[in-house]
Amino acid sequence: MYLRKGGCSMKIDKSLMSGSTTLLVLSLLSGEEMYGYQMITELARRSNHIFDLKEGTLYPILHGLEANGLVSVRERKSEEGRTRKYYRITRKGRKALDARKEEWVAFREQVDAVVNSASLA
Amino acid sequence: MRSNFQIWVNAVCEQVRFRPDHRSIEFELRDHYEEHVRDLLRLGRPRELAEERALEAMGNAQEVGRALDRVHKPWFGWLWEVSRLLVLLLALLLAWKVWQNDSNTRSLTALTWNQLTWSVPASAGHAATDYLDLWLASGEPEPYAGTYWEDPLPDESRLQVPLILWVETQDVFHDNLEGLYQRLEITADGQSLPWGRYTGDGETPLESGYWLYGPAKRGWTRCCDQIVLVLDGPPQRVEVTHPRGNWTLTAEWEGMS
Repeated sequence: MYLRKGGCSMKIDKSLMSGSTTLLVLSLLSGEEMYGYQMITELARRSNHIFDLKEGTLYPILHGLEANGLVSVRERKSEEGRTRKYYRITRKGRKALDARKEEWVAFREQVDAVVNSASLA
Repeated sequence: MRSNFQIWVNAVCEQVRFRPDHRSIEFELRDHYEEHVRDLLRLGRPRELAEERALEAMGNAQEVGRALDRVHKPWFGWLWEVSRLLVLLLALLLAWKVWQNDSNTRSLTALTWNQLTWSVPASAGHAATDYLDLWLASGEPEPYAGTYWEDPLPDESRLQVPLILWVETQDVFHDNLEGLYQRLEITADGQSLPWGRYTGDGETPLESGYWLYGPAKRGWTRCCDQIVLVLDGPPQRVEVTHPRGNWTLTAEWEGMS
């Protein structure tokens, strides 16, 4: 995963983001069903190209979510006539998304608290 | 010559031990890669560069393959395949058992109630209960052929006299009407016949057969059966009743003496 800001690129520790990829993918799917490439482009667009995931790594995440019942998959023809696998969040996936969001907020607050207190010391 | 993408996707699939999933994995990764190439071509990149950039964006093949392998577990995949096969075999076995079922039933399993038509002669005696409709008609007496069970054995001058019985129920399915037949009480010209003097005990298949249709407990029954009386002489009037029913069916033979 890369972070790009202000025209310069900064590589960030993958482990920092690995815990949040599920949250990102489920958030993308909470609005509509999508196929893989669409998710990558949408993620880049919504993050102003800050999040630039290695594209092949999306599929193990998606297949894992499917195996856990958090997303369902179906094949359908796109407008260009290509058959694609579309992913859709399930009810269980929405519950997991809510839980992940709460975790994320709590985590962010605690990280901010520690970082800010350190900078004040 | 294999394209760079093909080499890449082969390297991904090599890491995935559950081989039956290779095809769908390749299909999805290829679709992704090709769409990325098309996007870059639309932005005016030369094809060679577009393919190179799109492939680079896919990431490390071994890393992607190993991550996919952790999800596509071989034991789970094979368990899934075997369970699918078992379900298919079970369905085939069930279909075979249904097909093997009573031949008269089998031919009617796809019919609706209205299609289970039959013709009961107008002259047939009719009786109705809350859940049954019954009709009875007389058949032509014939010399006793000795094919029916009887004790003691009849002499050769006796007759076999067929009775045709129709039984109909709607919304209640009877898969076996033997209980009804075995408790029938039959009198010929006022004389009560013991069970041994007529057939229909389930051991002798009756030619007219059953017309049965319906799922386990809710459904329809239409049964047309033949009861053969063994008599010393031609009857004039036969009455059929059931100890628990308040009905009597009558069959008459004109000109018999």
